[in-house]
Amino acid sequence: MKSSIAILWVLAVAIAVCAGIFASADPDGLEKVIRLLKIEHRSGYSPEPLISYAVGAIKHPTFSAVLGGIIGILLIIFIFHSILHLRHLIVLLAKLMRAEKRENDVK
Amino acid sequence: MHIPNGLLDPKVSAGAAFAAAGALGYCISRVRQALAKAAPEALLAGAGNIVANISDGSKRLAGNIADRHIMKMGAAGSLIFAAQMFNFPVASGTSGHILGGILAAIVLGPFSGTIVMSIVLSVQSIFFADGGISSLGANILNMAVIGTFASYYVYYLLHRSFKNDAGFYSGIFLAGISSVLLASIACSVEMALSGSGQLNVILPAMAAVHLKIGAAEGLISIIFVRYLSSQKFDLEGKAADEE
Repeated sequence: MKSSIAILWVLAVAIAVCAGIFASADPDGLEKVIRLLKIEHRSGYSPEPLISYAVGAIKHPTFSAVLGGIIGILLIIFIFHSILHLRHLIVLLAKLMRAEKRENDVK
Repeated sequence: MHIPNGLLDPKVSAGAAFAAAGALGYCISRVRQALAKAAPEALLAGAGNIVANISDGSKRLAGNIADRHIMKMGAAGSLIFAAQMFNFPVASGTSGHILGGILAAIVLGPFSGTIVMSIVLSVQSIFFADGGISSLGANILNMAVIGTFASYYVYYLLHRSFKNDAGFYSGIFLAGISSVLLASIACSVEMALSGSGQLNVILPAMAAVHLKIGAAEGLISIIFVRYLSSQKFDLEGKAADEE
């Protein structure tokens, strides 16, 4: 299982690097339709440091996009590892509560 | 196809967010049930070796299976995040990227796939300004719920009908097209309900672009699935007789 997970990680990093180098800068399908039909919309919150998958502090556009992609991959892995640890914590708390209840029942 | 802030009417955004939250809650409960069910089945599969306390063993095994599945969800999510960054040209001055819904569904099953897609879309929206925060519910509904679920059942029907490689790969290809197309139809309806224009104007424009992107999604998903199959990867949503 560990090796199968590693396959997905390696693929993700390889694609993020390729995306940073080769991705098209043209508008995507929805953006194109919005422009074609001249649909107006208000702009909203945009986080400055990582807008459009680029790291604002790095001037080189390719490095910036590759780094942005890798940061995104790490964020996703971090979120799922947090879910994993949260689950362990909940299981541990449930065990402690059961043990306490058993002790009280014995008393 | 990430809807930006300010494009949808707040009522439409709220309605889509409620629908997405309901669907996501259902997916989470189905994944929890499936993981709880998986442990006793795995124990039965290796029943000859069991000499210890069945109840304790079952709980430990359930924990291991759940841990592995969550780690696999994280790895699949990182792959889909990277794949969505890769915009490829589809017509002059227009690009597209795969959604990854059918890929997520075949790698993890439709319920886990929907959860992973929702987390990927949330990260994109919150940290990378790809899709608005106010339209996150609509984006999850279109791309994670409709794009993953609807496409999975297109694949499932074809694979179950033919039960061979032709059915498997044609199922993935058609599921890729339907995933992007159905998500674009949902997006068009939300835009029309928000007063961005007439549905009979928005829908043909959206469908024309997204049909090409959908065909690319189908082909790219086949390439990924073929590669993962060649690496003996456990494709949890592949079986035609499950879920």
